Amino acid sequence: MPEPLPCSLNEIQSQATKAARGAGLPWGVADEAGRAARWLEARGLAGLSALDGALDGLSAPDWRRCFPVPGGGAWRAESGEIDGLLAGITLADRADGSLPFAGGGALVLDRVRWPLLAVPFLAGIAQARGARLAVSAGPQTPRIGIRPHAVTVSCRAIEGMALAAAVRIEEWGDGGMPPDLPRLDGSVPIDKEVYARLDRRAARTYVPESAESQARGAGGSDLIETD
Amino acid sequence: MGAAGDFLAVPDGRTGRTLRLRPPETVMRLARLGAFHQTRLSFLRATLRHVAAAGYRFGYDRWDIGDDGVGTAVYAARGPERTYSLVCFAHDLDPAMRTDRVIAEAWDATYTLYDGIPDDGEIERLRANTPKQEAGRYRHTDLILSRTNKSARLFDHVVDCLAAGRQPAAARLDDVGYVMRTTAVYGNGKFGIADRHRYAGRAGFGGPFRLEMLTVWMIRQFVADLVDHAARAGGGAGAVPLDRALRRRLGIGNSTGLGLGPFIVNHPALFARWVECRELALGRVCAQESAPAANWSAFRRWIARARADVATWTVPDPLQAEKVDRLADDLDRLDAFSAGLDPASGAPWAEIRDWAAENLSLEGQELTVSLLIEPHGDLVDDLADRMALAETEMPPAGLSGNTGDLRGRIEDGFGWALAPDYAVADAQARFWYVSANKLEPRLGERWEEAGADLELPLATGRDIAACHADLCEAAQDEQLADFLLRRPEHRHTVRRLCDPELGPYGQIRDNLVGADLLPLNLLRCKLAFFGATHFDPKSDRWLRINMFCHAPYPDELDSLPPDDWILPRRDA
Repeated sequence: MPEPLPCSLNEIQSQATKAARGAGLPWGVADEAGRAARWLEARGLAGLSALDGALDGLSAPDWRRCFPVPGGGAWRAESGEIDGLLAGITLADRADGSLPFAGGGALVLDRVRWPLLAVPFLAGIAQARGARLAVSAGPQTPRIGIRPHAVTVSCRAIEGMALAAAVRIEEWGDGGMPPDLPRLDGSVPIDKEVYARLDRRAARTYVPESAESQARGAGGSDLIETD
Repeated sequence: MGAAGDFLAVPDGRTGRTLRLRPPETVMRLARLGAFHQTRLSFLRATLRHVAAAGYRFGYDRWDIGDDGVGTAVYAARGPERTYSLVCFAHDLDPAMRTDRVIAEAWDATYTLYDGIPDDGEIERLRANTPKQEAGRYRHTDLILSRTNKSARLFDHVVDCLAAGRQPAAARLDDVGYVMRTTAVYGNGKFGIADRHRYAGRAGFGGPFRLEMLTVWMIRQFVADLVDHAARAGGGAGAVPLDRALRRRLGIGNSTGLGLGPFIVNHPALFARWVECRELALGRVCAQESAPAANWSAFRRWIARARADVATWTVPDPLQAEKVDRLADDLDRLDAFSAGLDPASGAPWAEIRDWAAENLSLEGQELTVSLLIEPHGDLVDDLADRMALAETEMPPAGLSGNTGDLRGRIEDGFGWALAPDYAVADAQARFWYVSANKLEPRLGERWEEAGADLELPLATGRDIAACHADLCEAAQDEQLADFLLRRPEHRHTVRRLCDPELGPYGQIRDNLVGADLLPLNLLRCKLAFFGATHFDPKSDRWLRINMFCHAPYPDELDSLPPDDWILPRRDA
């Protein structure tokens, strides 16, 4: 494995946003992707890698069919697979309203791609509602605890998970939570291959300059720049 | 916050009064924003006040520059809690490679502001990266990255004069204003350097762009020392150092292009805070029923200083030259008008503000704002520390309200966005994009060039209008969350409209993609908040400026006041 690339969080957010936009997502959704990737990487979770995986599925013209369709206690996507990022956005937008997991209930998301990407949004919901949430991504994985600004170390179990058959969200209840993942202090090591793949996606947001544009430039090629 | 006549009524916690602020529909027009001048709240002035008040000590820890002007220097700013080190690399640059364009690949000198005191290993790490600038990689200990180029008009001239044992002519220095220019100052995580949140909580450096300004100021010291060094190397025992008073006439130049423009659009809540603090400062000043004699006479002196300074502001750009001429006339009229006022009664500051709004050009009105604020440091300087926003990792969860609510808010408060007919070609003649060649924001012609499908989300008015049109089509009781599920393309607009931090000055109330857009105004506005002076437009999309011109140097902070240099006394 090549030596990781030390990155800043701002750089991670910017790269993720551009890559998501390059994959065809609207700017507002891409912005959420950037924030989510930053939130995860700040806690040592492979947010960029998960986003890169998710963008494979979100690059299709019918990506909107990967949103969960809210209704009842079990949400599904028209495409058959909910995207984790879109699930997080959809849930967070509804934090003010009645979510199925409020008051002792549970919400089951059916077939979720890259469920890690939903975690930052769930932390936002935990903050908005003053609640602690529990997330289960199958019988083989430990329960994940989510509080405002924090997630438990058990989140590592879904770090590389490309597809969860079901994700169950409910309130944590009164029991104690496992320890939180600490926030990283300093540069964040990023897999160079992942970064390069996101770079290629980001490059799709760049526009080659026309000759006319180059002449106008930021300055104008007819102007002396060195005086 | 509510409307009070033509003003915004805003409670002010500091003074306990309700202030009457200029309303956003007046302030947030691009032509006016592009007429802003520096104020006491400007970032570089606030930075100098802080380092002086906190007792920072400056000096160089290393000076390893050869007679050829190539080598390494390390300057330290030692504060009560921390030391910041400017690591400087001076290069031998082929003049043919010297370009101010941000896409250049080599510079006369390159810099990293380092968090702490770098050991030899860290200096070597920086030596392998800093000279490459954007092509290098950095760590969280590296705070700011920058570079400068020599002024071909002035650097060698000054060195030659000093080497020959004589001082350069003041007029020649004033004509250019600097011997080196920065072409970029990078912060907040670029290329791996420290994220802003790492230092935003440190005393004195929570304000916007403070460390960037500290870096430029320390670069100015290095440049001055480099000039003296080069003169000694060339002239030997006969060389003289640059006279201190002459030296202060030199700032650090800067060339700024479109890359700076999108920032104030992309950070609407932050920019709104900058503007609001400036308007609060004006509001506090104008709320006074009378003017204390000392403040009044100071104000009158500041007018005189401004008149003298504007007389030295010469620009080749005909449009700006015309504005400067008008500004000189405005200052004469301001001087005459204020001379006839009684400072002891009748709210003289407010009277001046209102008279200026009726009688002066935009440049004149906004310089009057700066002059009104200037004598009131005790009343307004605290606002300089309120110009930053706490960073939030994720926006607050929860989109309350329905489509009818948002539609109503747009119709009530965003008439400026709905007014243009965007079906007319001129209404969206331009588009902002990131250039594949330069990786920098650029402005394209929508109907003549390819790439508009990849435009940056800076067409705020048009996008609000598009969102409004779809809101009108929606059931009016549809929850916003459901609306965005159906129409995710409006998400960036809804986020902007629903941002609780946005405040009254949250939107530039002009079409940022129209045929009549003057992008220079975006740049000028941001640079005025930095504290730049002598704006010198080189086209409608880039300009030269000067920073710290006439300011004390770090090695003079013991003997000179830190904030009495802007609009310098011409008898000094």
